[in-house]
Amino acid sequence: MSNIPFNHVMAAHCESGTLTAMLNHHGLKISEPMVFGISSGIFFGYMKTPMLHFPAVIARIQPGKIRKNFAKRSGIQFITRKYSDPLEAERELDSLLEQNQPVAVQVDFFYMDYFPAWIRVHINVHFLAVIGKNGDTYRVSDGYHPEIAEISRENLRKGRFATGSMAPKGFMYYPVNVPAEIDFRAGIRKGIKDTVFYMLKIPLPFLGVKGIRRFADKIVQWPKYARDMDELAHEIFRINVMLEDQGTGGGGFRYMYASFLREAGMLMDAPMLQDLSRRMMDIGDGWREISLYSSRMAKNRDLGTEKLKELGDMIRARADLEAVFFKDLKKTIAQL
Amino acid sequence: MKEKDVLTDFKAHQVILYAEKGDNSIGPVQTGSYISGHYIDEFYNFMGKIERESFEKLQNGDISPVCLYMNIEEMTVSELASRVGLSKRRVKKHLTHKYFPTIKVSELKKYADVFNIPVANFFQIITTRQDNEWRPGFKSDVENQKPVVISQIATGNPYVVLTKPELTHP
Repeated sequence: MSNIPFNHVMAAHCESGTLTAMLNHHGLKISEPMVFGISSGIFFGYMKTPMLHFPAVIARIQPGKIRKNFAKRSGIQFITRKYSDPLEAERELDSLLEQNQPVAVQVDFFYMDYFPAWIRVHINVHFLAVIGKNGDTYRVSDGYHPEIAEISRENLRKGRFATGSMAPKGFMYYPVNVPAEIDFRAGIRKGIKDTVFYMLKIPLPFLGVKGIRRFADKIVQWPKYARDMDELAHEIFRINVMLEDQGTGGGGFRYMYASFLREAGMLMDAPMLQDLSRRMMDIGDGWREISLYSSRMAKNRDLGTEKLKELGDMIRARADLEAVFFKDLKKTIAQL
Repeated sequence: MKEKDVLTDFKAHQVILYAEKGDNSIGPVQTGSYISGHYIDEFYNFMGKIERESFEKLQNGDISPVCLYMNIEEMTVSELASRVGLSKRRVKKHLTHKYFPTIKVSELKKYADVFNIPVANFFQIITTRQDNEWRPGFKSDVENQKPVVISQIATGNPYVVLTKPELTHP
């Protein structure tokens, strides 16, 4: 039996939230928005692959990158492991828990049965911290859950060894060396520079600001993927889920990024970043409006071409604003 | 967005949103999910429709039980194939009534793991108390008034599940 004292707090996003909780546990006082911003978490992508029934939007960088980027930019060292044998993975996890070491793991969200069934979907890139074990039950600190939760050994194993795209393969990590002095200013600069690159310069038409424009252009074609009005409405509702509920902190991560810019501005004594934070809040408000508008459209089954075009125009307006915003952010960071 | 504008009263699904606080700072706010709080019935109506249609097709012999669960979990053939480690062609066959009997038990176990159900549930349609617990409007006191509830309990054998009707008032 192990029961590690761990300060459980809810988080906006599972990956940045788990990393923040692990760092806080190891004595580094840092907020989730700072972790998110330094690791260049904000992004945009419009995806349509054979794996997906319908097109999907993502508003954060590739899973796993938040920890990797933050490690590089902060100098914090992590032990990371992947396994082919679930029993070996369990043995090592148990051994670390016995040593009072909380362990962050990657799982398929579907098996986390402490959540309501209606939000549990197969997604192999959910992160949480395992903080104790009692018999065949693990105690976990999951940033999406209001309290410390419990999960059976069987379901945790299924989650850690789920197969398919981005399979976790038992991935786990924990920090081992947190430097006494961290140059957050350099981390902020690098984080912002990479974000600007991801949003403006990636030469693929479905990523960054170009991805937002593609979303705006393609939304009118969504009816062709749906077998009937109910399915189309169901997918239009999901715009709200993708932008608000799916661990974004609201407005497709834009509010959390605004919080990062404000904190970064104070740390670097840079009022220009504070102004940009204000602008990013406004951009987030626009995304939030899109979320609410799309759910109203879906509820009323008001999904004709004209209405979808209107929604597309609202999305395109975000693209225009974000293109200007990230150019200004680039200029600002070059002066700091 | 102001803190007061993001608040939704929905205890069963809590999220963290960032919003402007009273002192003009931006910080995390714990609230109920807007979409779950306002539109959960829409979700259940839609999923109920998928479930009913698929169940009817299953009873008519148009699809296999694997297809039923794939539809309920809103998965694509590509995703399912990738998760069970079989070719798409093979999975497509397994979705049909005709080829369902050709599935190996070991393959059924892989499907069962993906859907997180006992293997036995490919041969019976069963609604357990555990399934119902998450449904909106579930009230344990009402459920406990029912004379019998059905539970499924995993055993040490991955191919065998204990399906147990229990008297609520023995």
